[in-house]
Amino acid sequence: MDNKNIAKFEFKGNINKIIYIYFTNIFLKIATLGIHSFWGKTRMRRYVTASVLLDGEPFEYLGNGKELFWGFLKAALIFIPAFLVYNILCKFLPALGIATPVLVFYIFHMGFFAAFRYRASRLSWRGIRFKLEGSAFKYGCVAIKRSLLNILTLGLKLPESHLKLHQYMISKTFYGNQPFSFSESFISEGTKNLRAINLKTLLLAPFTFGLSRIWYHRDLTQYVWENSFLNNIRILPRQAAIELFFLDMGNVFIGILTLGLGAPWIIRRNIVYFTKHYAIEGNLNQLEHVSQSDEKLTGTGEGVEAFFGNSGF
Amino acid sequence: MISSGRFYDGKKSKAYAVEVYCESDSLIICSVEGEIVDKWEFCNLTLAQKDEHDSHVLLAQGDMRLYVAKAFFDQIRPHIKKRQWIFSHVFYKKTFLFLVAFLSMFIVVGSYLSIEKAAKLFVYVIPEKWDVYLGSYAEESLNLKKKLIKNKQAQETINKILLRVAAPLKDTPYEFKVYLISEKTPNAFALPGGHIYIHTGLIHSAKIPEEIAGVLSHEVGHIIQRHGSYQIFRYMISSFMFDIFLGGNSAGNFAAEVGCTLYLLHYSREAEREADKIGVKLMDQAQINPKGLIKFFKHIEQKERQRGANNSQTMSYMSTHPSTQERIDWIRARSKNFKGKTKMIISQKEWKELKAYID
Repeated sequence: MDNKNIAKFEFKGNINKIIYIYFTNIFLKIATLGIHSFWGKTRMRRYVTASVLLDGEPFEYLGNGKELFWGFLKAALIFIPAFLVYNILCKFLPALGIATPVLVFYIFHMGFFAAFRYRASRLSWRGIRFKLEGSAFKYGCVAIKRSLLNILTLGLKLPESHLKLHQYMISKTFYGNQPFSFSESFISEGTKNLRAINLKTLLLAPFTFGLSRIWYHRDLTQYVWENSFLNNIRILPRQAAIELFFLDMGNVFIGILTLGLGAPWIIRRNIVYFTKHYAIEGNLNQLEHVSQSDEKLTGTGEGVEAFFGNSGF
Repeated sequence: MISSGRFYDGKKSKAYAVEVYCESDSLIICSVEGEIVDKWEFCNLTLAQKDEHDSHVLLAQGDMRLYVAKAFFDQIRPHIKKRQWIFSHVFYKKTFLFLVAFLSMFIVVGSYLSIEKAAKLFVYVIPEKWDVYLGSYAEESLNLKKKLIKNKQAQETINKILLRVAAPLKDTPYEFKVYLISEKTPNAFALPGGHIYIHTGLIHSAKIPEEIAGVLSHEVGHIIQRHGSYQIFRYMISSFMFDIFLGGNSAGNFAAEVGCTLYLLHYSREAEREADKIGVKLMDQAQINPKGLIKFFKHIEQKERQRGANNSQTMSYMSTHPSTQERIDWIRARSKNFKGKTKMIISQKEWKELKAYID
């Protein structure tokens, strides 16, 4: 591999500033009875995103608190009446209750896709924004179909399912007008490659409290990124499963020991880990021809995810 | 002053070397050949990134980006208002932060002190009939159906004891029901709305049916005093507060769960005393021998000693229950005033059959 074509990520953030933003956000959240959290989240994202550099250029988060707030309100206005109606219907038609887990699962995945679309559209590098096309509804359907298959095959289809979901997202992601690619042919090849590790870690999962799955996820991530391209450029993860294990365990311990107040250290650990273990392979100058996407920055953000309290820091 | 810079036009991901200078209220961006590329008015540009350790500052206008030397930026800085620093973090003034921190602490302490009162207010405002919904919600979340013992005869015998205990309660909105669940510990608990769950371990350790009646009367006391609903409201308010205070991240959520569970582990000492009081009164009215309840507590005390808790005061402190000896003495004192005679609750045959099934 030509070392000249490796571009590194760099983290220039300062833990004291992350702590400062985090605690200011907590105080403001309490003082405003939770309403400020949308603006607080934006502030943290802006700082953290701007602290990550690629090839000396910082990333930027362009979202704002107002978008998150309206997204949350919109989701609340849709879901609260929908839940009430659904609950009433379930009283009269108890059979409908069977559909509840499927519906919850569908909404969760749909929300995840929609939130990712929002975050992608608000992420920029060298002034060019990312974007995610595709349908959140379709993604939800694929997720349900694949999950049913996973259950029916006792988890044997997990690699194929994970790869299909990743393929759907990656092939719909753009940097400006340049799409990322993850060829469908990689799904069958990846399924074969990941079959053994999936089976081994699944069998070990009950005896290792599920920690064995870290090894599977490491291989999955490695395979997905190695085969995802933006032109001829790709992300190259260089992580050992044991490092991922220590990262996750460390985060859990910090979270528990500090009753959640250690979140700034967790945020920093995750980003430092990412910048240390991920690099870009390929000539970034190829991206000079990439044009800005025509998509206008409109709409609201992360409605469903924020409503269910699952939208990260 | 002219400064060199790096410019992204927002259309392509390409860097252009430029020269920048100020002209009254604008920033002029020129190519190295001297051709004007763009003109940014100070009031429209934003500070996208600035770090005290960096030698460069990133300015933005729309999708366009411009890197300029920090020394150059310091010159135009007076023209850029603080509200224009939108992409980077904005630091608040210390006095403002101090006020916010003080207000937050005031809210945290105030909220903590008002949890109990708020929960009591909820119980007072919400009609008793709603307890049934709360109870069924708790039943679902505790996943109790899986552990139910489905022996019809055992269920009927237990129900018979409950009917006798609850018979004196004429005007109650609750429909009392008791269920047997497979658990080895000698325990029982009541949910809002009238459902009581008895562990098989309790039947196993009981020597006479009056012990079961005593425990059931105590649980009925919890139901009619709506202690369960109060606990649920207290839990809801507390978890809402924990969620707000701990930031709503996943580690925070976990901590919130742990915090709430520890905080709401048991009924309060007051609630336990109240339930004991009603239990003894019900036993008196239903003509059930109170010795059963005393005997039950003696078993518990014995178990506590066996477990190594050499005195029940320690356990009492941990669990917020009144100490077992204290409860025995209290029930003994109250039962001296019993008015009528006591009657058998179920026949010896029924009791033996129930015990045989459980054992």
